[in-house]
Amino acid sequence: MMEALIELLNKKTNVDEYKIKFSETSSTELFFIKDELQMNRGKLVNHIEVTVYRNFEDSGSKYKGSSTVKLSPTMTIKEMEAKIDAAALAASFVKNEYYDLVSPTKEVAPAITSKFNDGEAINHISNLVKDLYQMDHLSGAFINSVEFFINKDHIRLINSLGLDISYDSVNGLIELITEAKGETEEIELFDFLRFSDYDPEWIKEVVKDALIKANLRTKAIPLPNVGSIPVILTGEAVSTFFSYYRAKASGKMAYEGISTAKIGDMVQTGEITGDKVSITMKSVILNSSHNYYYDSDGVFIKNVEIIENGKLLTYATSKKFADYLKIVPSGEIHNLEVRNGSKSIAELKQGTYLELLNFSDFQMDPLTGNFAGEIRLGIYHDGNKEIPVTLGSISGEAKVSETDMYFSKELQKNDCFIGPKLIKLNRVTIAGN
Amino acid sequence: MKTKLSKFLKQTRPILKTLVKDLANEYRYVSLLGTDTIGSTFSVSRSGSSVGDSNWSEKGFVIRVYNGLNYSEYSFNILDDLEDIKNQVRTIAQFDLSTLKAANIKMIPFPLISEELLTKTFNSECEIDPFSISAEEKLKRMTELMQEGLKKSEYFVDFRVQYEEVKISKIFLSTKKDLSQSILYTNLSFVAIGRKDGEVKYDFLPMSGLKGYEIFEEAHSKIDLVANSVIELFSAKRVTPGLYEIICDPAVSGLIAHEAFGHGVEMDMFVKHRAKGEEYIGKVIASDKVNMRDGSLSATEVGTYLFDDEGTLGTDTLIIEASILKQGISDLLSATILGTVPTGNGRRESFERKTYARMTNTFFESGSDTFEDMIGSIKNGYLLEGYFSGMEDPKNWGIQCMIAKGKEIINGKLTGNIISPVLLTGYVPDLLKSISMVSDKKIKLSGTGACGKGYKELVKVSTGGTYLKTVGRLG
Repeated sequence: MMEALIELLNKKTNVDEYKIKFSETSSTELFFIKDELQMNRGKLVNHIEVTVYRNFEDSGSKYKGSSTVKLSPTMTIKEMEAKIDAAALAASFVKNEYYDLVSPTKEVAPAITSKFNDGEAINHISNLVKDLYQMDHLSGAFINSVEFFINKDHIRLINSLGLDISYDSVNGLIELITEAKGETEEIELFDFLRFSDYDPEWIKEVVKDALIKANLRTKAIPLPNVGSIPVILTGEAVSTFFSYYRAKASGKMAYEGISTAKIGDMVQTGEITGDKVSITMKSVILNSSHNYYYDSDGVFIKNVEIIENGKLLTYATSKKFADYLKIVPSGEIHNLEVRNGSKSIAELKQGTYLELLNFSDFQMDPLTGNFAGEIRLGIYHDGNKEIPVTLGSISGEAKVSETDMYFSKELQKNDCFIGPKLIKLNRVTIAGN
Repeated sequence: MKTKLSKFLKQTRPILKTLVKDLANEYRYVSLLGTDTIGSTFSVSRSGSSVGDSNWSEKGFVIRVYNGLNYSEYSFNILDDLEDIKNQVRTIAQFDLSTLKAANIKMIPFPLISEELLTKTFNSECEIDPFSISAEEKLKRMTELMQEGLKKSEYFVDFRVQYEEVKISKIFLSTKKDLSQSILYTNLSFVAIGRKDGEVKYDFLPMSGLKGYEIFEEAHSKIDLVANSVIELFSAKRVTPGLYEIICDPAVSGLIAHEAFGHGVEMDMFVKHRAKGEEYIGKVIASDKVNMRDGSLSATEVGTYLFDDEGTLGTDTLIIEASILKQGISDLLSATILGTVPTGNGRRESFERKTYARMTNTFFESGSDTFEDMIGSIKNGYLLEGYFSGMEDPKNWGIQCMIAKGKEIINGKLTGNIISPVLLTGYVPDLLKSISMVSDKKIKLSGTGACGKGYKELVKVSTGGTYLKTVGRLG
């Protein structure tokens, strides 16, 4: 079918250029309540996504219009042609500044290996189940329910400039709910684990950590009014926090005028007395579910340092916005490595502070730098005692806290993020009870 | 205009019926959901425009069979070889299950689904078929709206206009059921983004419904609303954290209905004992001013349908009646194991995903208080308007709502002072029991966004209601 589609697109006079993304996905999925299987599922689906481009001139300037449509494998070539014609017509009314498609590259992408690619998926997922439940029932906490997903994708990306690349990828997902019974009520914690390779020790470690935290939450009291004290972010909230700085280096946001940071500018404002942000975008991070050597346009992805000691080195962006900004495209990269900070965890955990272990949903607004979250589990360190706390919330602004924030020397790895285990922030609003 | 079921589903229906019939020789329960959803999204911003298929577009099938203990499912979108499809079902329902059993993985037995004979069809109606309007006209109209929006303030760096048209076609087949539906909805939204003194502020305004291209008719009058909102945000200050009397606008009260309570009464969470609501059925959960509903038939909005993704007819569920938690909302499998009646809330993100108990159109009903009396009753508080997001915690009834802004009310009068951003948190029963006034205004629902379960499984829902006065913790 692909060859017939390519032939059709090559013949179309109303299509100046095109891009095709073909993907074949198979999945194995298991759904558990406590340690018993509730349902098993599988899927085998093909998806074809075609982008058609129209190039035109207006008042001496070049423009490009595009439209992306999904084609079903159940369609006949005639039905596909009708959809492509409609897309080509729509594209002719879309007026964007001109940009080039991605040309074929001589770069050779190394294969991204995964143990999940060897043998039957059902056996792998069965092993994952056993690994995960090995850690069940710890410190009075237990696993409430789990969902397992192993997706295997085969991707082929083609464009009218001759680009033709194929690669395989695996992405796994576990939704883990842990529960613990306190003196007066039961509590739960939610974890969302993404991965691309089989790593039983990591799974066990994550489950153990989740159960310890669930148990801790049963002892938590509503966060009292603690006044203005430093806040320590941990875990996933750390990577979310850095999304603000990553957005400052977004070529798309720079082109749209939303990010005003210019190359060479400091992304942290004011006189910086704390740690400075350094970020590298990476094509591959061990066991990340976002490991790719090509982005969705076919740009060959290499590691790119975007921020060094608080200074913007370059924008990370797709081919389209790179052309607009007249820079080399990095491609759209999801893996993020943030350099560690100047202080150890022991040094950061001094005095009175609020350490936050789990939020309902910690959010950072990449446009404004405002961040906030309701606290599901934290530890209030009053200088003498460690008091588990829950409820309450924090909110703040990155630009208010960024002059004297500190990152830990110790690093964490969380799916597509490598970075400090902790961030210590001042001048964050804490709403207690 | 009445929407029509997709030709593809009409044409393939006989083959699919054969497939169900063949599999019914091997399995005691077999059902098949077929989907063919078409749609387009259009966006216009200062930096350019785009057109493409809607993210909700899908075309495929999912088969569910009773494997002797519980249920197995296979999702696919190639129909070339029925024997291959049957073999895939056998692999999942027999081979995979045997492998898991051999690995000593325990199974939960589920009762066999019992069905009555049922044949039904539903086609939604709209005034103007959006698919009959050219892309050129849509983009031209959106560009005009963007240009008008940009003129509203010298500080605006963008005024984005997004439009989506979606036509859902679904059929559900089992040995007893033959159902079909075709539903068309449109969404239109504005996002105004401004920068002043280095500060970026933005807000959005959603429009939605089981409407066609006529949705554009209401757009023009709403430009000022979102433009003025962003202009107000330039003068916003941070809130002093604390407990305040608050009035929630219909968007915020809808968010509370959805996040605070809706997720907590999704009955697949009862099966896992993940929802505190399970313990409160028949008990007081809110003030006596509170009535709350959810259901595909509770309102006509983007959550409306004839049947859910398990072939159960949609209903109108009164969840809270005058303070008492009456019942939850349920998918078919949860109802089967709980011994309750399914409410037609079994929904999938797409044919590729599992069914969960999900909301549809969720809202607090109107009351008898006037908006003016509500404002007048507040000594020191805020009128909360608009939101960015919310997150549920059904087990422990915590709530997190990211509110766009609060308008200060002192001694019964709006002062003109604005706070933003605002994080509304608290313990759900405290919040609901503190509801002391409910406005008599007509219920307003909105459904431009999507609802996730945890961090995944997006489905289209509408939320809203009317103005509520309560007490909330702001930070």
